[in-house]
Amino acid sequence: MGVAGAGALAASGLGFDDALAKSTQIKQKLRIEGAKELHSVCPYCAVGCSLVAYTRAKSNGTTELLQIEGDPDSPVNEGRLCPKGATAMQLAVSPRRVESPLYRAAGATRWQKMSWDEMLDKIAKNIKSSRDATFVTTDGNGNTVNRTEGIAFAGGAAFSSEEGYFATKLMRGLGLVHLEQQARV
Amino acid sequence: MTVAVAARSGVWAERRRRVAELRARQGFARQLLDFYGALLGVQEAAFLEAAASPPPAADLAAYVAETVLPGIVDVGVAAGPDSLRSDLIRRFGAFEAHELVRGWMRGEEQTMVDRFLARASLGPVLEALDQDAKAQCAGPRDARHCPECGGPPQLSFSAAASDDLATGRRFLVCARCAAAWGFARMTCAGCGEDASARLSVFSEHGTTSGERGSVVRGLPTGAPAAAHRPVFPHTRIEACDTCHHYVLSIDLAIDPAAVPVVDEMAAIPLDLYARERGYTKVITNLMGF
Repeated sequence: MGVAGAGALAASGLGFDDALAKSTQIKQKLRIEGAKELHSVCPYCAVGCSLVAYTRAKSNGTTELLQIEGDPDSPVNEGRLCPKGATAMQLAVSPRRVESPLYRAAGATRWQKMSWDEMLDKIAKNIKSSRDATFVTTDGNGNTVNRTEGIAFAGGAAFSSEEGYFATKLMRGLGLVHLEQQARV
Repeated sequence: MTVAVAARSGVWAERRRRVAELRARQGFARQLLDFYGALLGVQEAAFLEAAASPPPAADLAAYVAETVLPGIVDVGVAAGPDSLRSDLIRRFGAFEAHELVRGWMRGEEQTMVDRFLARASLGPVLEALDQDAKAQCAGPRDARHCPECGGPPQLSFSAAASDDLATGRRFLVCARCAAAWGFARMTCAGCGEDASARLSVFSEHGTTSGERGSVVRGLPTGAPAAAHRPVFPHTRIEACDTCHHYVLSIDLAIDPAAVPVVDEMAAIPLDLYARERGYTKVITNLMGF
């Protein structure tokens, strides 16, 4: 069957002129907008559920996220999402999303905004001070161990293999023993 | 009548119910829905007759031409729009009925009226019959064509999922025998294009979950403001910028009462919008839209 030929649409089909005229009026009132469907992957856990994200290009050059749902064609999740994954859209659109680092000093009752540079410097200083304070060079039997017992590390489920490798190398280099990874959950 | 046929015969009651619902809700399509409602009686009778006494597969075209097509012509004359009625009256007794049905089975180019007569006559019979009868129809048996009769896809629908956090699979529905088959969600039904950048979805404002004020697709929200209440909350245009074809897609998760074949037929304003954007439907529906 010739698809292109079959698609030749007569103006009023079989002569439904009344339906055509009224539908034309309705069409002019509709607020129809175009969108794109894009594949994505849920960022939350190691299952890696496939998502379909609906986006629309706005006239100001930005892209608006309209909807996120499970991809029914994915062999991983077959369209299903957990309650957390089903709300993945909140990562982008929630007005309650924390958009910058917050710091609450010991004993303080309020959080204060910080820049990423300030926060990274503070984390680095804390790591250094904790490591210096808890570093163990030898165990009770005199064996050389050179380990940091005062810091633990927890990796996120969305880590790529490369990020996981990098994080492990860095933490082992600092002497950390307690490494955990959400992907094991 | 077998149990299977009895179960399938429920589709006619479902179609009649939906015609009545949409007739009340979408007044702009009333002329078309009234005619389709009149056709359903003849089509259901043809379905039941074919199911009770299946014709030999090799005689399918002759059976349809002789037993079903005259009834379809009668409905066209009695309840069809003026243009169709006058065409049928003018050609009264001059139909090459067998060739007309065979032409549709072969997928040949036909006039709008000839195609309507052939589709309306053959469709319910094919729905009632088994694989042997459908094998008489020409057409590729690939992902974009009906695996049973080789017909092109008339429409797309997303099945309702078993829970609110799941998305149902996408199916295509055959223009020839109304069989449904699973098809990849983000792929053009016309040419198989699967690059997201080449595929556009057009829907009314207020139909996505984000616009409805929910972050979860399947969960209902409060009633939208009257000014933004969409006419087609569950129907969208799935268009391809590679082959410039489109199909309408019905989302049964949003409207579980929808009957895709009927809803697609009544969504004329969306067809007009798609045409205006330069897209052509993969194949026009029974009513020529």
